[in-house]
Amino acid sequence: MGVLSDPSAFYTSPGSDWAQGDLIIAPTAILWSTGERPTHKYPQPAPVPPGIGSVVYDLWNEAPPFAKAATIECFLGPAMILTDDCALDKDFNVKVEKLMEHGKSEADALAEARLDPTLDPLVVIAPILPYKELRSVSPTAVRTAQAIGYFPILESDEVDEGFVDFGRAVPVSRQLLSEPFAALSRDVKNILCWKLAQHYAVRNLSVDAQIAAAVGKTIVASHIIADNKNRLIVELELEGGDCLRLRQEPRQAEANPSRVRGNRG
Amino acid sequence: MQTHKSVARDRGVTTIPQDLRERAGVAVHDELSWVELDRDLWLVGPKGRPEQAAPVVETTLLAQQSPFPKLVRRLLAGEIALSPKMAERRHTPTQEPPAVNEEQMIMLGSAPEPVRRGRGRG
Repeated sequence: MGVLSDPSAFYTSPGSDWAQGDLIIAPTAILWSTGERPTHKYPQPAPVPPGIGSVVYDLWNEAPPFAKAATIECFLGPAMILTDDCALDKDFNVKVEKLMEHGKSEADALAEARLDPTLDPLVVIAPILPYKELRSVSPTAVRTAQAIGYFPILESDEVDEGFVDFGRAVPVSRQLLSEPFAALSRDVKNILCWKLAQHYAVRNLSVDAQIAAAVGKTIVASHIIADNKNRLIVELELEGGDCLRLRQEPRQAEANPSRVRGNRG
Repeated sequence: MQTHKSVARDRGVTTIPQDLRERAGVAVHDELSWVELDRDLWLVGPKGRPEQAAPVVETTLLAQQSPFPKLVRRLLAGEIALSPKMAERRHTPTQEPPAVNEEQMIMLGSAPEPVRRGRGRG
């Protein structure tokens, strides 16, 4: 049984702070062009239970002169934190270091930074949806993390099965997040990182796949280094300990069109 | 499941069918409790009993409606804090990524253009 099918390997206990891959309850939203969705009268009661339905409101009472009229649809339900752990604490880490540079002890710097609610105010999350809402992709492909743009949520004693739709990612205030009701294990978090990279930059990663297929070995790590001429070298670690170095082509002087023989401009 | 109907008369006066009174043990001058489970959905009975039954009925109803019944049960049981005290942020030393120039970034991001069957901006 692999990590994607074994709840004890899929989940771990949530940490003391939010982290990438944490499952939380929070609102998410979609912006539509006005008329794409029937709207509700504002305001409406909160959905009970979470995960059901949505509220839809027109943003403005008339179309703006410089853009199309927009409607917002808001949902409330389970979601996953997509922001990388480093980005979750980017402002926080910088503030701690600045305070320490100004002579504060690490403990004092941490205590002061923790009191500042303006640091890293936004977290990117994506909703967890039931499989009945999956379109265009096979549930098996999502459950095995083969489909691009989705991530599986494995059923356990405490967590319902579903899937994360990366296409519905949205920034929300950190203050809107519930405490995590589940957290991903290290291995599954690594798979999440890979799936996010695939979703946002699949073209580049397809080069890796072509190289792996050409050499017949899986790429297990990559490092960017530069030689003494500041030329870029990408070092790929292959399974079995082999290493492949891809060197940037030496810079070539651009030909001056006026000096190309036969070109009279 | 047995159901009973009665009609509300003037000023909301309604009667409880006799067989229901007997089954529910409702005697003369008994106080009835109305517990709201959902909009337009009430649990009614002699004082004490609906209050006891309501959480179980509510949990079951909500869990049945939701695509995430385990999550609903945990929420109703108070297992998940909606306003958590997650103040223990930890400091990780910031690391500057290796500097790469524009030419190198172009190379790192380059790949064969995929064939797009786009719909255009219509």
